[in-house]
Amino acid sequence: MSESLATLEAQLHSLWMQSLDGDSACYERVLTLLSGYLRSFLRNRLQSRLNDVEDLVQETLMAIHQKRHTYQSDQPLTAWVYAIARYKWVDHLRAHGRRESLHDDIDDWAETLSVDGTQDSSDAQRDLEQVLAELPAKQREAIEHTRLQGLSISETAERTGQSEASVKVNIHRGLKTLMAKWGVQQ
Amino acid sequence: MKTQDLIGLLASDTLQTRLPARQQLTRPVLIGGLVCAALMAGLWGINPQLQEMVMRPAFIIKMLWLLSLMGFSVYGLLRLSRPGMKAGHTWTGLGLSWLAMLSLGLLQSWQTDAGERAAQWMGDSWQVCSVNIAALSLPVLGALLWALHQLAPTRPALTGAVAGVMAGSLAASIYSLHCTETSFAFFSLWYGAGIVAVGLLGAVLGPRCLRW
Repeated sequence: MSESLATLEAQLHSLWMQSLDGDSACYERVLTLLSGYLRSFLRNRLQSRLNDVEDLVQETLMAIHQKRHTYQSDQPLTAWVYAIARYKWVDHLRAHGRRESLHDDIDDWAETLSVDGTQDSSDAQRDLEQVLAELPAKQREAIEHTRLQGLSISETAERTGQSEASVKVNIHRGLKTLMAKWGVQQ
Repeated sequence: MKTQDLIGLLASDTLQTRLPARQQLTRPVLIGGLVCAALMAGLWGINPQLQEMVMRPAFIIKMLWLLSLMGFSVYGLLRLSRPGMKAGHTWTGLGLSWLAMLSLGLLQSWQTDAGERAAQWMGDSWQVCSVNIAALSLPVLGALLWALHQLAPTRPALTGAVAGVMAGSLAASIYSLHCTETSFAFFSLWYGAGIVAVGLLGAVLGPRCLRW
């Protein structure tokens, strides 16, 4: 492992461990960093379908979120993320009947990690507003207040008359439903 | 939707409700094992000479063999259910365990008169042994595949195969409470065949059941 990769691993790992302890600001930061690397990783591999890149970045992020209980702290975080990204990419190729070469190895990932991953993100094809409208009212409220209006959990609880615990649960359930609607399997 | 919006959305979900791999895999093994034991007792009954049988070296060695198969399968499942981990020594361990039993069988066979060798390899129950083990393992295999689906296996066929070997070995150890065979040759051949069959079934089911 090159020195810069080791530094990066250490940085991501410590952010990630704080995130798992419930620090959502750290979580947002680590997901943002990862999304940059995922974007350049997937862009290199989906050259004939660049339109799909952002969709797949988002799908991979959702998978990372849903499968975060499978990460164990003794394992390199970058290897864990790489394996998920690769799985999602292969799955995508299969679903779209692409014949692009499946040859891939972790050295390319290391290369991806050493470039600057902060390229502009573009819009994916899924529409948040549209799916939000189909959620049960309490879940929609909880998500809209915290995310779209940037309120804290306690402010949301105050405005909606839900308890803080149930705001958390409603966000959790709402996200689960959203992902199911986007076809992300559990 | 902007990716940054999605990230914000994901970060707002602070509930971590899923258990890590070890806990998730314990439940199906326990529940599957209980169902399996109930099926065995109901369908075929426990060997009436069991009490005397459990003291014999043949039984003890067979159980140790099955335990080592289960140990290596659990080791494999715990690795394969997490992205970025390879199978490690799973197949080496499983292969060596089986070879050890086969060597015991061959050794036993070599020390026996030529006329009795066939009986040693075929026992009294070769027609049903593998089939019974495979049938008994189905509830365990089903429960394991369900639990693995909650985790994140990136190599579904391989993971399914190891789940099959795990289910087969657990079923075989429960079937042992009914089985009256005592030769190592029989165990390596017919127990082995039953376990391998479930492993193959798992390899076929894996890619279908373990997508996420």
